[in-house]
Amino acid sequence: MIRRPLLLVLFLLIPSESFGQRVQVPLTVTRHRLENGLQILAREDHSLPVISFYTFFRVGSRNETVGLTGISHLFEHLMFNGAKKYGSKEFDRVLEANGGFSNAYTITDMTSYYQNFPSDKLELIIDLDSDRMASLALTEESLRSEREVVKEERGLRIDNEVSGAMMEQLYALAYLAHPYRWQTVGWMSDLDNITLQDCRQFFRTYYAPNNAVIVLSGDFKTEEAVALIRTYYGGIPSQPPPRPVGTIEPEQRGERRAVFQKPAELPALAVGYHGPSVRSEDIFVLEVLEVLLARGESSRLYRRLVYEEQAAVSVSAAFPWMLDPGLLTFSVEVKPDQKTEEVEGLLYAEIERLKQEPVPDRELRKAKNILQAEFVKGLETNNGTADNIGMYELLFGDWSMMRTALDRYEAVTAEDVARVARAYLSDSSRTVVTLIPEVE
Amino acid sequence: MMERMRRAVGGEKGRMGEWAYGSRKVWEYGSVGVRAFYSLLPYPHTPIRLLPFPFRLFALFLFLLLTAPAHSADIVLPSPQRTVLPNGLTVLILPQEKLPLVVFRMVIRAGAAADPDGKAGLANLTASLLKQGAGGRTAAQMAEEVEFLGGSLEAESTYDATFITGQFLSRDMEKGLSLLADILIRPSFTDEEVERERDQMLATLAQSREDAEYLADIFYNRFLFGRHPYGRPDLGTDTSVAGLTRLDVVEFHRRYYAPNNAFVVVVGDVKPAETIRLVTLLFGTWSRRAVVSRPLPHTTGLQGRRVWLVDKPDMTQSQVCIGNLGIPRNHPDFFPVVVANTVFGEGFTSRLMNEVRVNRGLTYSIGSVFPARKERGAFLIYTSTRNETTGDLIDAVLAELKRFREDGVSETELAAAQQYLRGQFPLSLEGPEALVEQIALIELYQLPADSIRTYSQRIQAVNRADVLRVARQYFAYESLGIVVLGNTAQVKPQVERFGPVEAHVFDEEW
Repeated sequence: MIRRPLLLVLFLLIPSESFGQRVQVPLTVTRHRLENGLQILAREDHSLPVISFYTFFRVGSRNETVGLTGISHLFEHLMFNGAKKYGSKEFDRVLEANGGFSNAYTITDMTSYYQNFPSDKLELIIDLDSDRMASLALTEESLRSEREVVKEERGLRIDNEVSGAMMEQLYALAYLAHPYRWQTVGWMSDLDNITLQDCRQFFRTYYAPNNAVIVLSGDFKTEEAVALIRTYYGGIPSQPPPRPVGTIEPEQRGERRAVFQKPAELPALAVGYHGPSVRSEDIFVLEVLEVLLARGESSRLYRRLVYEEQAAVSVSAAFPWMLDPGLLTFSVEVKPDQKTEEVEGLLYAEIERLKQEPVPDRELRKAKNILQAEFVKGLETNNGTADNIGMYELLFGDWSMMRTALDRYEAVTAEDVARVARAYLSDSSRTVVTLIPEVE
Repeated sequence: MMERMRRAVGGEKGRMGEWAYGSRKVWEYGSVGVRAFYSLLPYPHTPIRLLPFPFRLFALFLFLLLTAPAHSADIVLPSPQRTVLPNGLTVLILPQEKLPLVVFRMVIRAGAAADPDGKAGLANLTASLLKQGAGGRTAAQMAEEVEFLGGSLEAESTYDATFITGQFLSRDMEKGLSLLADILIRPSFTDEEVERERDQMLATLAQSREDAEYLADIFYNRFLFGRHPYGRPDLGTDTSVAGLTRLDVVEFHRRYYAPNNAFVVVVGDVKPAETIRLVTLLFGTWSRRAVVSRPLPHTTGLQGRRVWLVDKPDMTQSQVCIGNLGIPRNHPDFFPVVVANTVFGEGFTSRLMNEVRVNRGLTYSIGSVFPARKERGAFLIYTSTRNETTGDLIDAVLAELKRFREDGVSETELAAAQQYLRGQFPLSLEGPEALVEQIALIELYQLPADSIRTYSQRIQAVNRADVLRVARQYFAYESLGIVVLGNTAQVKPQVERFGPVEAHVFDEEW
């Protein structure tokens, strides 16, 4: 039985002081729930004969433990290696031979799979995808080969890429207790030690229908799509809910620093501050703060570090949305002839200025305009729309948070910006990693 | 963010806070943008990340699936409205009302291949300076005005062309186009900005030397194309960029930035009549002048097998490029090559992926591409593996090449590849940004106006004999280059069997 769908029509209102106009973007999403707990969010769009079909699982490296780091991502790879009806190698072959394409990603807080395909293949895709949720075939052979692939991936993204290696160092230093300590890909030795038994346990616990959300966007009739999903997924039994992640990162009391030595072309700097959970009221203020500091060539850090002082090649900030308190990070690639200490000083000076001086109206308006335009652009494709719906659903607990996002950006004041900068960007919660290039 | 296969990298910032350097220059190479992936009208600089499909021993049930009626009808899109202004500027407009967005792209028919000898990087320096002050505004004012609207205005040069792309909310179209007119027609090119931007480019070059995938590609092009303009990095080298002057920039701009050497595409929630009025108002006074394009020399390609090792001793993985010349974008073999490459080297079920990653676990990422340009581009197989397995990896790739050239593809593989390409094509038309890209490519390479509508038919028309023929012609085996960027001491003994080895020091000539 399906609960009566809850119809929510979203009109995104984009206010603009400079133009006094409002822009409307209609987005209609219906919610459905199967008896086994599987959630479905459906959004019809008939402009092209295509569908994006996403499955989100509420699991990521946040749910891992020491010794099993990287299992969520390794497991994501295993999901493509065959199930009961569609055996080894058949998932991609059948999918692609029918005009579809699939990929997946794993982050700290979720794992997400998608298929983009011609709309007349919906039932086939549902058959393929439900087959692996119902009866994934986990074999020693598949684990052995995929383990090597993932180790190669780690080599590519972390061990042989300065930026990846720096982030790993920063998180490992900033977190003492919480699983955000390690990167989603996991430690190399743990990748070697994960067993088939671990994978079976992981699958049973986290890939149950009651731990998943299906989001589809594109050219289908909702009633038919939901009926198909019920037919194929309805018989998959639910499982006891996974053990919640209870570890709370203790408050950081005092700056932490590390020097990372590696052959590299440029010195680099990574700075992190402990931030709030995505569920915090401050999360939208932090978005504005991030944009003010580091989005675009008119942003404060770009102007100061790259343009005026010409001390850096690039600067970026990432204030990620995470279920547990996340890390607000800054990354700077320093020019070869510059000192990281001086660049660090410039970065802190700009942060201090935000705490002390109210942001001028026009600059604040600019940050909001950037975020609001970005939001609309996120809905340009079915894939982007479905990804956003799922992300809001998993992180905020309800996709319809999308409905209030623009208002929340709009509500941010100059006082909020200064208050939030003072609250989170404090010296004592700071972690700093500097890269000093080694001469080869 | 850890993905099953790298799709989009570079300066992108993810919501989830994956580490991303905020570089202003996004390396298109090595970044398999989802769009580029589907795009059968490949973006000139981005390799054609075409599609996948092997299908060797496949079961009957699959055959049944494949023989089901073709799924989607040909894509019928309204044609863009085409107008040529008196000064020679071609304007292409396609309304799309789904979202309140407008995307426009001005294309100048000159890019990095037009850099004079010894001045590699000039086209890109010129493009990136456009925004650094124009129409009486400073660089800071310009950036602020664009970003205040939540918009973007980006300029860059590929080998064949220079693109200036703007994205705005549609209500801001007038403002966006007027900013475009200023940077295009009235750039300031002050001494101070030229110097700053040149320093920034030099630093970006240093930064790029940390990106093994990009770097291997640069060396591959250098060895493959030699002195041909496609053999020079489009961002130049330390030496060439350091020598660029304001006069060079002004001269490049004067020589190539002319309305009769350009066209503009506008897609989004716009009204054609109003848009034409606006474009005429803003660009109508841009004066026509004679443009002399330097003809590109023909490329010759490699004879025999050659191995180039580029030493980067700290690497635990080898970055490998293998191949020879491919095709120009206008070539009649384009569609057979697309289909053949889909079977051989694209996606998760390609022969390369199946054998080297899935069966052998030798790599995370492998594929083949044909970056088709005005002249013949490359045929390139790109991959990486740990130092110890570099020789095994190359063996596995060569074996697949040999088999492909000998046996071609089966009916099942062919049908699967065609179905895949046709099924994915509509995804390259989603949204104004994707449409602008497709329309601009059709115009740039003077492809048939019905390219989008007939895409499906052209893919479907390819037969097994076509694939076998292009496999033997373009999927090089006897004559090919192998470039390995990595730890030469460890790799050299493993690769000597493939051909004469030439060792290079990583830092030379930068």
